[in-house]
Amino acid sequence: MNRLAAFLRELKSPGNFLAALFLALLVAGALLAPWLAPHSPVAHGNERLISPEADHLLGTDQFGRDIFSRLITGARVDLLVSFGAAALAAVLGVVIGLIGGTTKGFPRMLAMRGIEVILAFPPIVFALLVVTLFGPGSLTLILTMGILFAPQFARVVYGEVLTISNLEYVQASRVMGSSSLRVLFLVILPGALPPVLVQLSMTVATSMLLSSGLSYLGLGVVPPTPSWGGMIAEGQAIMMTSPGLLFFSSAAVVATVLCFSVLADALEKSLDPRRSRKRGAVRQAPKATVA
Amino acid sequence: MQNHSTTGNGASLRYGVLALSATLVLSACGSNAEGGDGDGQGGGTLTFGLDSDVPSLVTPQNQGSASMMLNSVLHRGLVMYDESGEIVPALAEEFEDEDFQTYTFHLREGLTFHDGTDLTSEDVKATLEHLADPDTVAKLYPVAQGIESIETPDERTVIVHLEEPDAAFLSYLADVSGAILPSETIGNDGPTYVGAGPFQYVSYEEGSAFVVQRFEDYYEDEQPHFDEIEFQVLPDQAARDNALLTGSADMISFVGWTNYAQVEANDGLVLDETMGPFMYLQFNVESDSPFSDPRVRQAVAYAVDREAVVESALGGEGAPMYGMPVPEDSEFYNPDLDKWYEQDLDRARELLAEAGYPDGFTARMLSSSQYDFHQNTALSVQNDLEQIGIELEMNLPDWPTRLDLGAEGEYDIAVYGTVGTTNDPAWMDQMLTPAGAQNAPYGYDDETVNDLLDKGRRASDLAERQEVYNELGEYILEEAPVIGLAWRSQAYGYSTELEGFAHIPGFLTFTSGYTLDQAHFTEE
Repeated sequence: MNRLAAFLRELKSPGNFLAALFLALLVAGALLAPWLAPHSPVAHGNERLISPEADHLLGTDQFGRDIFSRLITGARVDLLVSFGAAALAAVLGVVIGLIGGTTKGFPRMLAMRGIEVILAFPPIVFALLVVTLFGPGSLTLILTMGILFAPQFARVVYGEVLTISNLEYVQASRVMGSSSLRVLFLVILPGALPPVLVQLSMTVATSMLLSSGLSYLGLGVVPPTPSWGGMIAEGQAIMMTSPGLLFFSSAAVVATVLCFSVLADALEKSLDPRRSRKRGAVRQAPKATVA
Repeated sequence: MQNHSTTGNGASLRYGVLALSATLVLSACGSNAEGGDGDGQGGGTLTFGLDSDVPSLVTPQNQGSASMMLNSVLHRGLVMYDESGEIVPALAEEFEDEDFQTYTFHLREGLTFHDGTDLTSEDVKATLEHLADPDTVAKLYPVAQGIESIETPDERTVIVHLEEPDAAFLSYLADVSGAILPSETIGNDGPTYVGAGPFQYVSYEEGSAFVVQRFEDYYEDEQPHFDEIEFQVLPDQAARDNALLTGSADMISFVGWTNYAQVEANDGLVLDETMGPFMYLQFNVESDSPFSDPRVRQAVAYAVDREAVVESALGGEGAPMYGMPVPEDSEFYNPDLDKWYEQDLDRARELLAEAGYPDGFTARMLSSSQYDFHQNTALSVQNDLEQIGIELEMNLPDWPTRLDLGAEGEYDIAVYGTVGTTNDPAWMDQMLTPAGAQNAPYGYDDETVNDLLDKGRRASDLAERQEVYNELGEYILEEAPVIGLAWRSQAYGYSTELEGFAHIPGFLTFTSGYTLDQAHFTEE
């Protein structure tokens, strides 16, 4: 509860507040897109490439489709993919990290060297490979990016677990005879979660960017289903004559990624135990609790 | 420590994220090519922005438009095209035929290749035999395989005997891929840079530049005028257009449609366009495809909105194609075959119902996301077909994959773009018979079509040939194994200081490099 209060306190700063507001509106817009969109996002029209006006808030693209409707409908796919990928990565990463942190010998090696194999792949190359093998689509994107981003979580959790398991309260719990599973999930894991939460919000931003990139390359969401990356690609072809499409779709990606990063920052500050005491208190030099 | 490491990690990640998103936006803005400005009098260097890289030039093969440009400055065949698309002498100063079956070529005196060796009738014979070898995968294989024998009575005379009369033989030989190569290099691996064209190879840097210089022993004494042509490889549309607009290139191929207005508005630039290439739909006509029934194909022909294709996929720079792909200035043009299908959704639904699909069906559409006009054509057609109940599942891989899938028949309906090899309708064997591989509708091998194409080639009289091609046109439009969608505008952009270059119209647009031997900068 302390942490939640701390987070809310962080939101009082205007930048963080705006970021949270934008994301809240975006999520609401995406959820309600079928009702909010003034036009069908895929139906072609005869008014091509018109500038923003009352009926078409952000104008239309080369097929006469309403850009605003496509943007909020595209947000559904982009948000679903990035949240889905981040969640999958978190689950995979936490499990691997726990295995690595609590076992010794072969299982630990398997877990930690395994993630290094994934880390060795440049993300785009790995994504290209998977998409080429299994065909493009939202599910492929989620699976690909879920695997790609799992190592970051695993490393965070691994480090936390190693540190926490030596702390007094964990040892106390062990001494009191708790089963090792109980220690792991009810004692160690809660302590390791805050950094995971921060990592999660970072990962949402990163996966949004990667999924836009893949859609831009024609490897993500299959047209005519709108996606931001796909819209950027379509907009690039006509940017000289009608920059609107490129501008609005790129702005959506940049703004969303930026807001997620800002919030991640706020979240991190509010979860930092060294800051959760009194604001303005003299910061102690961090203790070197080597992982 | 762990908190510290998270902080550091988070920050660097975040900046990485921002930098990446900036790249995503900026990559859309293109970049300027660098390069010298070749102004000068007589001589000088022409800087040319080329639309694609040609990693290994193999002259006899069909390697796309960029390779045709390089071939047209490095090489010459027996005959070539002039600026209006007429067949004119090149290495052969005279040529005659007997009933389109025996062709005699008299070579010019003192011809040499770039490497200094003499070009004789033996080289011509070796080259033509090379083209007739199936292993060469020559673009001219369909004509070359009809050669029965080649005689070389002396060093400067070549007599070609064909198995059957072929009225289109010369128009094929005039293609850049019919260039004469030194007999000793034939069959060697490696690029075919040595020829007898106006310019000779200097250097090539993969993905960057291809440089040629004036060939002193070119058969036209005063030509070429340029000392050098530097082809800059600029596959990115925006980068290429910018190179022209900023003056870092004197000339570019494939001006982007969206930049037409900007090039035209610039006093120092010329936009030289022609309607040459065209977009069409091809069907998989194998029995397990719903499109094996001609009525379903006709329904599609009635359902598509060709105006919409021009507007949405070609940026308005094109023209709808309602009938056969025969340019209006061709002597084989027939106005009756030019307006055949117009959009008529009721008729389309009727035809579908007759064919047993009153509620439509789902089919696989193949196109490519690599070229936005290919993808956008597919999206436009998808929208039209939805209105008659045909749902299309899109498959939009990269270009090489699309070509493979097309050749393997992994589609029900596909979008494709092509250009006739010659202005003679004989080229249509590339679009209508299995000889065309991925250019042809999968599984389509129709006896009537094959017979008519053969007849058209063999007939020696123009009126007779026109009749044959009219019959073919009518048959194809009814059968609809392919459906024409739109003519695509193709443009070169160049500085007003460039003179002597001509855009050879229609299907011959990609052979326009032939005229660079007369091109020069204005002399002041």
